[in-house]
Amino acid sequence: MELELGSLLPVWSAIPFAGILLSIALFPLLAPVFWHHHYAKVSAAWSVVLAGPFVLGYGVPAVHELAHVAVVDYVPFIILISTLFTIGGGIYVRGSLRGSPATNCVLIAIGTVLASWVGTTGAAMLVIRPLLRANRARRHRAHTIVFFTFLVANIGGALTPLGDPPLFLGFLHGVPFFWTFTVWRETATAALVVLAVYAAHDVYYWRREDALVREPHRGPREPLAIEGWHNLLFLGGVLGAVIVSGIWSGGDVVILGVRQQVQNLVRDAVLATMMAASWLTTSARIREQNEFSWGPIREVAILFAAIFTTIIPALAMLRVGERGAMAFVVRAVREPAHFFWASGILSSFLDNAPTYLTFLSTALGRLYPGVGEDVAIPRLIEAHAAYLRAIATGSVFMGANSYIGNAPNFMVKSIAEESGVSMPSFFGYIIRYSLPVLIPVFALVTWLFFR
Amino acid sequence: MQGRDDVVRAFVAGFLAARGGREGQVMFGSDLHLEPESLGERVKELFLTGSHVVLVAPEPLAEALADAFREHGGAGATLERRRAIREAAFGFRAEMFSRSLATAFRQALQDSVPQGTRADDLQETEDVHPEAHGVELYAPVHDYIYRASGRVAGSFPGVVEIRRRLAEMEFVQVERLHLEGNQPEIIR
Repeated sequence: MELELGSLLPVWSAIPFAGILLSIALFPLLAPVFWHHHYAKVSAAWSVVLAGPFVLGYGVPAVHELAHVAVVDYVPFIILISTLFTIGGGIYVRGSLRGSPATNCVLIAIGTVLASWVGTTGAAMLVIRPLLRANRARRHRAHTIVFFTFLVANIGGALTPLGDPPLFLGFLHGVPFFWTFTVWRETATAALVVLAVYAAHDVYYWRREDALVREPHRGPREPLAIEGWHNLLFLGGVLGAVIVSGIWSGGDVVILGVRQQVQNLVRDAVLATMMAASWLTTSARIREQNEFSWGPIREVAILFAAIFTTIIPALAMLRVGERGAMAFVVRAVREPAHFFWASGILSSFLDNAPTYLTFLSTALGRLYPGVGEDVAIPRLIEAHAAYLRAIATGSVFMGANSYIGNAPNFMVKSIAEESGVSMPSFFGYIIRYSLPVLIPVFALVTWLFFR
Repeated sequence: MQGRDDVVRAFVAGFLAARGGREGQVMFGSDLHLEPESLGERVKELFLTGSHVVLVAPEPLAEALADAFREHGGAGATLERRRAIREAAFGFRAEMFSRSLATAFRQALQDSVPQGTRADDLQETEDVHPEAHGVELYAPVHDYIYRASGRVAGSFPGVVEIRRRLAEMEFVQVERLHLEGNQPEIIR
């Protein structure tokens, strides 16, 4: 059904998908207040522009596609993101540190490792405040926040499907949970090189700080403590549920005409339970300290409803490979290095989750045109794993290239600015940091792993 | 002055030490971020860095320093032009996202203002979006935005002091220092 649609759909049916992605990328920069108040209407408009003609033109197959994307992708995705966000927002690191290069490197390294387990948003929310407090007295702070964004909000999330939304979408589409660990070499290389560059930067600026700032702190100091640590147990529950759903088969049920596996429903139920348990057992004070609200979940729920609706034609066209109207895309990207840079460049400016799905479909359309995902993805992993590694790392790593590349980037910028750190402008971030630091690192990753 | 910056600095340090003057009485244009007065100065700044020095000193110290340069040859540095400064000024622009920062900025601009110094054309706005309080991912707006712009003008030392205060603050952009005074008197 889906394969027929892919070869029938015209290329312009992907316009609403491009529209919602460009809206998410450009409105926060060009009209932030308008976007803040009206993003739900804009998202709904793009959804209706696609769904109306799609259902009228293609009838039952179109309705089935909409139901499929809702049951298989959207609902599990929102449940996971909400759960990780609720659990991450229930942990608060108290205490004050001295923002020396060693302390900053350790904090950023901890955040980078955590990112794959609590998600890039959760790790960023957890570590940004201790990092800001540690550097309160320093004059040169913006570079620390930028490198934190590179590592904690992006690169660190590459190792598990919990780390970054694109990888969880890959998991939902059949990529095994533990397969994601196979990108550890690419992740370790990128993370260590970027951390080393940061250390050199921070030592340089540290030497230019006032002597008073560099002196070891004397007098009483608030000791380090983790509040809400019991949320780590709920995190363990999430991890267990996701892993079990990938290895246990409990049969199928049909929901809204869509076949869904029982283990996935059990997983989502466990996740929802963990979220509720975290909410009920964490004190309101911890959530206030983290400035926790349901606002970000609302944003994700609304925007991804539009993304998952409008992405249907693009994915369907790509999956049929050169038989579809997007054959030019399938022909343009052929080698793993192409996939790494193509998914990366798009992820630099558009949301990385749909970008990942788009290039996964492109790879499947090129290598296994017309074959269902349940068969094609295991074959891709077995015979052409470099393609999937390139798409996964390109989508996750290069979200760091700009403020709009990944959702936590803006969150980190906003928290830092409200704490008194003057962050670089949109282009300042790219010109002063991304181009000289990240692009050479990604070129190195390409040379080492995707030649 | 025509001459190397380090040589002029050494000469000035010696001159002040000999008179029992204190450091800082003579200021250097490169430390003050002076706005070039003419196209010629702008070109010199671009292409003759290190060979062209601007000094600012109060009367009668300035006259004595000029005499000292003339009498002792100034270790190769020569006086080129001089002018009396009537007033100094600079423009500024600020955008900040917390009330405490905005308060600190207002204090730097308005509290303990040196005599003879004033803020001209001060424009201040506050945007408050209470619904935007807290963490946001895709639609980030600060819940509080303070913006200000204007110009500080008046007596030279007072303006320099206010400019120093503001330049130390993040989120504040200060323009270069503009000097108003008599037409320059060409010495040679």
